[in-house]
Amino acid sequence: MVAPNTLLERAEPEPIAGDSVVEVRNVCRRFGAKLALDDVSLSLPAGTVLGLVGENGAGKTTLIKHILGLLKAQVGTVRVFGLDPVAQPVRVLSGIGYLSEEPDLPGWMRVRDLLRYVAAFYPSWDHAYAEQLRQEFALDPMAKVKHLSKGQKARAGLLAALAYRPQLLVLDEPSSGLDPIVRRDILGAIIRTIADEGRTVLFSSHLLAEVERVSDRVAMIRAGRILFCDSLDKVKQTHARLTFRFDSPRESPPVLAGALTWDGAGHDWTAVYAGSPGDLPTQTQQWDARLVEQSGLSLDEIFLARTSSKTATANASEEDEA
Amino acid sequence: MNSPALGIGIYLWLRFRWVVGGMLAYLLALAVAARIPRVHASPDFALPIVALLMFPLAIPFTYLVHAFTYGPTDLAARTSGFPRHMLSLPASARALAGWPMLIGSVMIGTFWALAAGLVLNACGVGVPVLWPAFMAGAVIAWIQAIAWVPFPFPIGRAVVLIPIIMGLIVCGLYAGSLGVSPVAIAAGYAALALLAHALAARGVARFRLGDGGGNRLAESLRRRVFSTSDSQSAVRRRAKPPFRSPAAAQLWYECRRNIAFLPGMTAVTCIAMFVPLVKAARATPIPRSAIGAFDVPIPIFGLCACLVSLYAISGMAGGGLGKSDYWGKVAQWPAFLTTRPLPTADFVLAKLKAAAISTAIACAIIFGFASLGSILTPNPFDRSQSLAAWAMHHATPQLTMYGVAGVVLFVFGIWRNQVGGLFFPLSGRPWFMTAFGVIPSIVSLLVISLGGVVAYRHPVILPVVRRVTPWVFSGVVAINLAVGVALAAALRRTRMMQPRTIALLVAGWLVIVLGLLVILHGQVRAHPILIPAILLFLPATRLAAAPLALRWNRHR
Repeated sequence: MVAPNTLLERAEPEPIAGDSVVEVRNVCRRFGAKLALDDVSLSLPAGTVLGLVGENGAGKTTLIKHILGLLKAQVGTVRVFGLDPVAQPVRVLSGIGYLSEEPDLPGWMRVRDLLRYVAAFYPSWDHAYAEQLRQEFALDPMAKVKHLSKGQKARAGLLAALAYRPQLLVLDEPSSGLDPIVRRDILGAIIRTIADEGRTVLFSSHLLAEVERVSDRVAMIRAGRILFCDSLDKVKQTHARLTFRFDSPRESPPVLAGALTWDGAGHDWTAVYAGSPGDLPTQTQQWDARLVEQSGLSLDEIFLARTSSKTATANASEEDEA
Repeated sequence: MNSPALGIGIYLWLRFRWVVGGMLAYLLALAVAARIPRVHASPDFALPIVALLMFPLAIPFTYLVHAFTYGPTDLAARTSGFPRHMLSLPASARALAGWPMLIGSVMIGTFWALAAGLVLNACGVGVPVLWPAFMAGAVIAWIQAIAWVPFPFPIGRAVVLIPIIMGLIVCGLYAGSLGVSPVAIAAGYAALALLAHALAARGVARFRLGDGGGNRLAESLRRRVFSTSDSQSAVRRRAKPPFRSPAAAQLWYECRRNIAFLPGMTAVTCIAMFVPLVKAARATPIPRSAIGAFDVPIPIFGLCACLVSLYAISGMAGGGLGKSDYWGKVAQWPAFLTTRPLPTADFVLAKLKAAAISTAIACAIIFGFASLGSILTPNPFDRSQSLAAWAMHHATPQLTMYGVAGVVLFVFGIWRNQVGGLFFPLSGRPWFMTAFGVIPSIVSLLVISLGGVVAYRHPVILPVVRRVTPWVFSGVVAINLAVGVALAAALRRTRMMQPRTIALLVAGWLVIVLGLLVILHGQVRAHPILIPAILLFLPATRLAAAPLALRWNRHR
């Protein structure tokens, strides 16, 4: 539903047909001296669930804000449904459901008013579905938003983001600080959205078990750069825990290209390894050691290894400088 | 030594140090200017000139009130405006409320003492120093108390604020007119400030314990009503139809949240001033007061003061209207709004409509009170009939036309005042507002004020000023038009407006300008400055800047 009498240019181009709902190309963003996004490229095919993971301040929210058109790319391009979200916000935002970590819903509104207000912007608003969700989430329509608990606010925000069945659901750390019941509701919403054919979800979270549970693809962002963006299975296949037993005890771990972290002492050392396992023999053949254990990693462990790897590198650099 | 006083003092100092420094520098400049030997000028104009000089201090004073109340305070809210993060400090409620009150009262009182001693009395405007300083301190203490006490009803804070401030001021003036000694009045104000402290401390203590100010009686009534009926049927009974369009929804949002201030303040001012003004107008003879060189009837002066203050309030209302939430502290628009699929220009259009509704309500209140007043007030030339009857009897088509034109101009002026500066808050950037709104305003006021001093001291320059002013105005108009053209091009380039719409708006603007010039052609010949004045009064460039400012805010 678009305002019939408006001052605006309405003759907007049709979206470019393609497989990707979101296409981010070489986007850079700087806030003063801080480089928040550094040559980020990302593609989100239709019908997939992409889990975006990274530390606090890694650039997840900045990237999401570029996708929503709330930030303008200083370098590079962003296309959502084939359109520029800054040049054509109405067309782009009509198809996006967005829920942030702190849903900034107007506290003075009643839940009933909130839904009535939001419904006006979306021709596809499904009143029956909205009422069903409201009852499922146990939201009192007469309650003021400011009097809702954090979990209830998240539910109200989720309801407002889902009831028009958006083509793209963007959730920016929606379950941070929420109890397991609300987290379950949010996960349920994602699963429900996936069940609708052609719907796409971009889901940023620190709760990696949840990301692992619902995501088809995972992108990890660190210091404004995408470290990897691949299917969850492939990410897991290319990360492994390797335990080596050395003939003679060591005081420090050996050098292994692709080792994110090392842990151990004496004879036994365990590495979190990222790379092709086929390269291992050539790298380790001169060691007086044998591989005694090789196992897969959870996303949580991969995330920890990737972040520890940075910390270790930073510490090493500091020591070098000292 | 560590103490709550030191912590609170440092916190406040960090907020107001630049403003206080600026105010002191301005006072110092005025003090120096006041000591320039006068060439020749009429002493009758001392009061208006000094009042003009002191006016720029009103802006930083407002900022100081914000700083001392930890504002801006939500006047419509029931809950306390005291910052929550300070409640966890290891200090008693009395200390938390007391120290900022003491610092604020002393600071404001000292400012008055400096202004009175260094400027006002030096300019020959004899004013008392002691009791107004205590009055200023008491006023700031009561503003703080009102800001920090939880209220039982919404907008209770807004309702009591003006009457209490006016009451405090009137008490001192009345006591002064009765000949009460300045020391006694000062002592009275000190006692009132202590009372404010007791109230504020109690409010902060309640807030600390989680009392948000809810009205127990109203809550229990509501619970009783809803417990006796099925809540679902109650909801259905209150169900409202969906909005016709996104623009209608946005206008509802604006009207619900952002337009109450102007009508509210208008109503409070009219209610407070109505009885005294009508009473003064009915008195025989009508009381008069010397304002500079003029002997003005007090009801006329009061009416003019009301209208001017409402005009100023409409400007303040525009500052809040430009934000996403009038009472909100954050300039940047929340993602909840910016992610709604509504064109940026439609957001602005909703604000313009909301300003028109706010203006209509405020003006209806003003004209309602004015009509009632004209019925209750006798004609000054013939006391047997009312002012309204006299006006009806003597109304000619020409007078009626002038009256209608005056009303239209006043109503349009109120609306224009609200929307003219909309682009500053819409930009969502405090630095932009400060650099291009606040600082130029203060500098302009300073230039005008100091120019006033120079003109007062050296009237010989007035002919030069008269010759230069039209050129200055024309230059400003030329800049304004150039900026307007650039903004129109930007609106077209960003596809925020169709070229046809831009052309229609420009044509409409030209029609209004030409219409005004035709109506005022006689005056325009006599006063050529009217042409640039009309061009500047119609806010075309400023309105064109509004959607671009919001776009700048929405897509950062």
